[in-house]
Formats: sequence, structure tokens, C-alpha cells
Amino acid sequence: MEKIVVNNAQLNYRFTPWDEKSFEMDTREIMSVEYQDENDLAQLIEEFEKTLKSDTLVYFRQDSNDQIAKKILLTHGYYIAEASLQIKLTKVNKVDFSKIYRNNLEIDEQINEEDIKQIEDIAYHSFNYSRFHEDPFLDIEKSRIRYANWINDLIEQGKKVYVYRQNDEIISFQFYTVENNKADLILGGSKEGYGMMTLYFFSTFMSDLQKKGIKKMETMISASNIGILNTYMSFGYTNERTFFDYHKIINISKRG
Amino acid sequence: MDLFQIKPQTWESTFFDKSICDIAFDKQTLCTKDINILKEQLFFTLKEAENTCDLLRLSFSARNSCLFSIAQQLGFEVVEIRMVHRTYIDSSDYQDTEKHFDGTIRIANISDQAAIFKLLQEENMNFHSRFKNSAYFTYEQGMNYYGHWIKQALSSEKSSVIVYEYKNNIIGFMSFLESPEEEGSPVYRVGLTGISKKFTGKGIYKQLDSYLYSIIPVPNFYLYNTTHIDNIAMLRNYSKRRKSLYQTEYILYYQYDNSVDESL
Repeated sequence: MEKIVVNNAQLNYRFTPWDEKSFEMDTREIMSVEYQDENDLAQLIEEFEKTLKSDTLVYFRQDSNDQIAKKILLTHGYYIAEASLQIKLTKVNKVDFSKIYRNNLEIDEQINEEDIKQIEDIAYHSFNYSRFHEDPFLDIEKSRIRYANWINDLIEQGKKVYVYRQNDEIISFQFYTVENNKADLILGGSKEGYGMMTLYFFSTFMSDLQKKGIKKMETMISASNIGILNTYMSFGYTNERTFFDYHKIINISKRG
Repeated sequence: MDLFQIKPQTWESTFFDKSICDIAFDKQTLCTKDINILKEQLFFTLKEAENTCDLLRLSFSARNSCLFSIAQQLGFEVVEIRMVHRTYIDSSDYQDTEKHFDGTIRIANISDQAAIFKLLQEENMNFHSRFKNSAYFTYEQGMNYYGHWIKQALSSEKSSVIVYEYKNNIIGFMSFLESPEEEGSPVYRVGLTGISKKFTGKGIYKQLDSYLYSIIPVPNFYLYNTTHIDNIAMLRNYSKRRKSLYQTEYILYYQYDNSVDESL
């Protein structure tokens, strides 16, 4: 993690080579800002932008209630590309998943090379909502490639995964991590045309997490993704926080 | 044909004493257009409206997300993100016999107007609204708007307000409106809902919602509930009451100060 410090304020950012590979330009993600007032934040943003050496896509997910960040980012040429909701399910042990949807699919936690190719294919074709997919200034094809590439990154990072197969074909998948009895649901989806299976798959893997002693589950969903938000709500998930994803494509050559 | 049309809003313009205009467009096809053409056309619309409108409003479903970023790049500000819920209610599924808090609920009448407004004003209730945004409306304009809303809800044949009373004080209310049928079923829309901060977390929303179902004259109907994306407490209420998210709506404003930036 890199940082910019101005007075007592700090901006933390990171290089995101996995996104550079897909978008074929430099990319930076601002991870957090700590500031006292508008001037501090404005200076942080300006100092951060001075570090950019070539055309760069900058993105920053920040609490939507942060009105100072909204004001300063908008006046510095950033735009909100996506609104998202952080949702959580608490008291997991009290949920009877079988009463919500069937939860007896045969799921697997092991995947092979052929499975990975199929999951990449689902990730490429089945996602239409994300901080990248919803930004019309980014090539949608590159956003799809980014999601397909993400699968391999998740596997290399050793993230856990559930899959559901029919006739040796991957229909649904869900990557997740577990820490302190809390499951963070990172990325999941179903093959195109199998949307109904998502309900049963969710019910099944959430039941399995419950059996493993998970007390809380959490995920982040685009506010535009109505279908999947309703699916989570049907399991009792509730909203925790809302975020705006700010983007700016900084054209260094034009800036001179 | 122009992709965007300017639609002056007569009632709001008179009420707020500024010329407010909507921008209309074909919601089905807009995002199939080239993004640079869209941006150029919206820019020309801004120029065209410059002499007739003080404030431009652009509202659309998140399905038209192409417009979201383009409009912001041209100087529109996101003033509301509304989570619209549309739920088919079978009131027999919501029989609520549990008494959570010892108050009474009744249908309000016009004599309750001042008390409801006082609650709204004193509590500066925890709801996000573009009418509370000081960049566009004064505090008085915003409050007058809500005062008018309450009066209309209490006096119109198609709408009503229910109030929650505790020790002879109104501590909560919910307005609702009958709308045209959809898919052969009656439709009701919940408008403004407010609960005194001192009494939140006591199940009052649930009681108001249940009472609403009990006074709607049919057992099955569509109910619309809308709140801002930041209103976490209300969104949680909706989840608990099994409301179904229908669409996310963006509302953006463009306020003319001097002139439109000449650069695209």
C-alpha cells in the first residue's frame, strides 16, 4: 500500500496490475482517506494525481454519506460510476435455509483445470453490474475480461470456493473467505440461463457455511443489481452501509 | 429527432419560484446509442434549456446507467438514489398480533396537520431528500414543500395519513396514496413516513405498516415503498417486512448559475 501525507491527512492507494492487464492502461485504487477538512482532502487528491505518470484509471469506493468526499471528488473531475450496498446476514445459526429455498444440491469445494475454464466463461458472460461494467467510459468487453481474469487471481490467492455441477458442467460458483466465523462472499454467479439455480445454490452453500459454524455472512452488491439483491434479502440479509464508486480517467498527455 | 426533450414543470416552478424542467428521453433505447453522441446531445440540451430553465432534473432507472456517468461529467449532481420497492401484498400473510409498543394508531384528519408537521420539523426527520439540499432549495422551501405534501395527503380523496399516538402525542406517521391498477390489482403507494427519533427501534414502523394493510379495503394489492439508498434503517424495515426491490432510480440536478461550460 502506498500513501500520500499532507499535514495530518493521509490517502492510501494501491497499484492494481490485475486491472491494468484487462483495461490496458495504468490503474490505481484509492483505498482510504483520513482527513479533517475539505482543504486537506483536496490537497491529498492533487498530490496523489501528481504521482501519475501516464493515462490512468483511478477508482475509489467511499461511504455515500461522506458529503465532503463527494464534493471534493466531483469538483476534481471524478464521477460516481456505481452505487453499491454492503449487506450482511447475522444470527446465521437461527436461519432455516430449507424453509426459504431447497438446500440439498450436491455442491463441491474442489475444482480442476476444466472447472476453472468454465467458471471464467461464466464470469465473462454472466455479469452485467459492477463498478466497471456500469461505467460507460470503460469498454464493456474489457470489464468482462477483467471479471474472467479475476477468477484465476482468486484461485492463486487460495480463496475458498463452492461449485455446483450438472453433468460435469459448472452451473454455479461462489468464492469466499472466512475469518473469525464471518464469511465474506467475494464473487459468485451462475451460467446464463440457470438463474433459478442461483436460489437453490445460495441456499445450499449458505446451509453448508452454517454447518461449519459461520455466524455472519457479508457481501457487496451493486444497487442496480435488483435480482440478486432481492435474492439476498429473501435469506434475511439487511443493509449495512452504502458506497459510491468514484472514477476518473486521467489523461496525462492532455494534461501536458 | 432529439434524444432529449425539455419538459417544463409548471406546478413545481410556481411552488419553488424558479423554473424547474425535466429532461425526458426514450428509456428503452437510450443506452444503445453511442456514448459520445449521447454526451454531445445532452450537452446541446443543456445549452437549449439555458434561457428557459433554472434547474434541470434528470431521473432514470439504474438500468440506464450509461446516462449516470455522462450527466455527471456535464455538471449534473446526484441528489437522490431511490430504492423503489414493489410488493404484492396478501394481507393474510401479515397478521400481526404482537404488541410491540403501547401506543395507538388511527387515521389522521386535517386537524392533525399541525402536529404532523411539527413532528417533521422539530425532528428534522432522518430522511434524505433533494428538497432538503441547501444547494437547490432553502430550508423554508423544503419545509413548505413537506407542509403542502401533508396537507394534500390529508385532504385528497385518494390519499390518507395514519398516525401513531403515544401519551396523546403523535410520534409517527405514514402517508399513502391510491394509484391506478397494475396487472389487474389495486395499487397503493406509501409516501412520507416518519417516526420520532426517541421512539425508533420499538417496532413502530411494523405496526404502522400492519395497520396500513388492515385499512386498505382489499386483501391483495401492490404496495410501493420508496426510500433513499442511505436510509439504512428504512431499508432494514423493508427487508424485515419482505418488501421486494423493484428498481433503483437516480435523480440528478443541473443548476444554471452563469452559463454552460463551453467545453465538452
